[in-house]
Amino acid sequence: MMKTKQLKLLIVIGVVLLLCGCWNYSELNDLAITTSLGIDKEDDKYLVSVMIANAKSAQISAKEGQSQTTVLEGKGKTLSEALENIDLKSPKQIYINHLSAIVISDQVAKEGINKISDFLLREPESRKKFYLLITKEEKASDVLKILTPLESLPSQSIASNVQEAKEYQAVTNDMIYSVFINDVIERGIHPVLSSISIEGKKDEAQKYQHLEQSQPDAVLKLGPLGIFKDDKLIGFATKKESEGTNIILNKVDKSIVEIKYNGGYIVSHLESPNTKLNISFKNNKPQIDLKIKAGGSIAEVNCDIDLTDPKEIAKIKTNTEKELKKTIRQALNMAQKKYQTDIFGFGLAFYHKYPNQFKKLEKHWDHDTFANMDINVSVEIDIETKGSLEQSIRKEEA
Amino acid sequence: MEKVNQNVDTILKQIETKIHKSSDFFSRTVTLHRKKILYCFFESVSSDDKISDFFMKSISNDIKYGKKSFFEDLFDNLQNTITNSKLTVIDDFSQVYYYLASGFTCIFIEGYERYIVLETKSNLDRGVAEASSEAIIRGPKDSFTENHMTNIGLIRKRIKDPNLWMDEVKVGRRTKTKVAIGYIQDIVPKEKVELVRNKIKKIDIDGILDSGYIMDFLSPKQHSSFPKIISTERPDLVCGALLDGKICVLVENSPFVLVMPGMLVDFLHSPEDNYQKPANVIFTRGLRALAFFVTLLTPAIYIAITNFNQEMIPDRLLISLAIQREGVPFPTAFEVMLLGITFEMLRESDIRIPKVTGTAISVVGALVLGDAAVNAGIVSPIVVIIIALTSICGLLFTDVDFTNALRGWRIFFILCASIMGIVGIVAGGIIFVAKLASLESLGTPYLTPFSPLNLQAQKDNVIRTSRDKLRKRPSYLAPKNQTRLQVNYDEN
Repeated sequence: MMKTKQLKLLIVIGVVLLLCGCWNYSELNDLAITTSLGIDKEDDKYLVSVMIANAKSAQISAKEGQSQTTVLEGKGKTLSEALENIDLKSPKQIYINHLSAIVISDQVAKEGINKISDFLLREPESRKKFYLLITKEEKASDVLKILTPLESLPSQSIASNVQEAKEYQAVTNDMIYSVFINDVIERGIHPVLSSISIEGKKDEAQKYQHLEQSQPDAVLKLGPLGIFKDDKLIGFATKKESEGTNIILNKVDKSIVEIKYNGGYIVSHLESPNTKLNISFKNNKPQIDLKIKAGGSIAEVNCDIDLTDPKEIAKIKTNTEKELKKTIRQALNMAQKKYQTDIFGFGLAFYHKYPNQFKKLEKHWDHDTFANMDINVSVEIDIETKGSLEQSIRKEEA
Repeated sequence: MEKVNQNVDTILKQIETKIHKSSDFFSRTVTLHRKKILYCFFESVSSDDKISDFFMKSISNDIKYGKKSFFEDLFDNLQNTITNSKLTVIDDFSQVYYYLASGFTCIFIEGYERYIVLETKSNLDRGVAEASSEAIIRGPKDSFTENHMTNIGLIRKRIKDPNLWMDEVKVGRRTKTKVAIGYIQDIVPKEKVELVRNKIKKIDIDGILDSGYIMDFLSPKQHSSFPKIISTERPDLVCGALLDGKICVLVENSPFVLVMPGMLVDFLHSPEDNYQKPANVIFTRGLRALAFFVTLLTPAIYIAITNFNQEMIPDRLLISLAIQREGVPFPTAFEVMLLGITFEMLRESDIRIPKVTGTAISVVGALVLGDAAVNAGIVSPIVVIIIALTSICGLLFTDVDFTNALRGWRIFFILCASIMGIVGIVAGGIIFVAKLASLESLGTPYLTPFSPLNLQAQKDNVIRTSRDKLRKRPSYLAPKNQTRLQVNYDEN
């Protein structure tokens, strides 16, 4: 009795296991692992280019550096159609769940990103953690085709460039796709995106040989921010404005501030600047106080100065603060006057604290309330160390 | 019971017909004052020296100095004058073969319905050597041997408590193997000992050659590849277990002593854990716990995430893995199984092979498994790493049955993973835990002290606190006598 029961159970389990099959089973070497996606527009159709990280051949030892990238292009009215066209050209299944960066041409971005964002959000297995970049007067497919040096996995070059720049630069920021979409949808905030451009001869840089030179023919360069209104690109900021914007957005870990001093320059490191937003209503008018606090250290001195004198240090401090304040002001001016778009999310902050008042102002927020708002900026930099040198080099000698 | 014939010649004939002229059987009849004395023994298991020393010498002394009255009551007088400490008088003739085979000399005297046996065993056992299958760095180095009395002695000399009881049962119709059940009488619950004794007594088998035979009979009738009885070579482990309230079974001619009940954690522990500093032991035991899961799951997880859930792998690793797999003609699951089975064959041959040819195996194994298979494009390098890792972790545990059980379940998990990916592993995990939780050993659940949770026992489980904090014995082993540390131990 017991035996037959067990046998029946075994048959049932066996059948279940055999019938369920292997849904979404795939071997790694049957996948074309797409690491970057470029989206352009050509004759009313999307031109999608994918960068595939592939092995060169089986017999090469499995070192990362042996991987080569291939860029395939496809056209279509929709992204899916374009990707399908690419699939026809590839012996392997195009696998986009491991995207690390998407490059969108400024042309597409000007028309609005909402049209293409649906596809990427809808895919259930895709991780929404790739970086989003826009090109500046460049085709996105060209950006993908550039072979870059200094990275063992060339396909990862764009993503690692963004990561590195985020940590040590103030000009760019690392906008992740999910955050970007959030900024588009959320009321009271508009997104910004870093731009990427090609520096050099782009036709030469598609061949592997160009990497064998000590100076490559062309490199990819991260540039200043593209400013958006909702999902549409409306312009680019300058370098200084980008820096200011990123500091206000709390996206900067390290940066430098240059000040003129005694006929030379003094450069200070800015360590983890932190921006605090104080919002309030005064006479029914929204009021904003920006408090920026940062640590700092002296990085370079090429003028005549006595660094042991506390008075001089204090002077450097006030000058640096002034300089930083200027940068912040430039960024605020750009957003308020030039583009009239609240990229800092001040509206969002008001919405969180005073939801009812904000709802009344929401309609005219960008071009009226935000554009004409008085914003107080205060900057405090603590210059703590002077590096390994106690004095300027001329004074050290004496 | 068989009566002893009074005629010595008939006795000799009886014995000779029974054992059919075995070449190692020796007998001699001597006549003392018209009384015939027959003595016989197996040359193969007896020592000639001892027989000459104990028996012949005392007889010749009796003849030299004995009075006439001495020979009138020859049996009793002989019994008193033979200088052998292990002398016994027996009146059951059927036992003669057991004593002969055990290396005793049997002495029959005409006219008596009794006979004398005296121990004249030759030393057929190797001495106490270092434990070969359970090596440790710090701690006692001796190990059990094939000699039953030596084995008991190795335990007795460690626990000099009169409460250490050694019950003896003879098992095997033909081998008549001595089986001793050892326990500390006032710690272990009586029912458990009774249970073990009854089970052993019930065994009606022609022969017991090793404690492994007994293990099969003692395990409850639950189908499982996991061992529920610890078998060990180390006397210190056995003594530690006895003091904890476990029962040990020693089988004659087997250097492996059984300790029961054996729970899952027992196989993750080593006796060395007790001799090292607690802070370091936590790390070592943590490693073993980690190795337990690594050896069970690594190949399965690899198959699952590379074949089904690629999005779980970091970008760079995925590209690296994809490059390594380029050109490998087999599915990943087959690749893993291929290499895994190759390794198991290598391990098996490494155990069986004579030491002289052993180096050939390691050279071929290392070259074939490590390098040539990768270069030939049959397997990818990462699979070699995974199988190596899995196998190393599997060999961390000293119990062979345990290692092999892990191997079986590993293959089960590989099958689960290659059919359904991560979902399959989770399903397999549920089956695995359910199976383990359903097992029990001598009435103790196999997952104790994890489930049912025993907080007191957690002090010496995955972590080990210092000795002065381990005041009590595990309550599931010694419910009535839990005191281990009697006085409050003070730092000073």
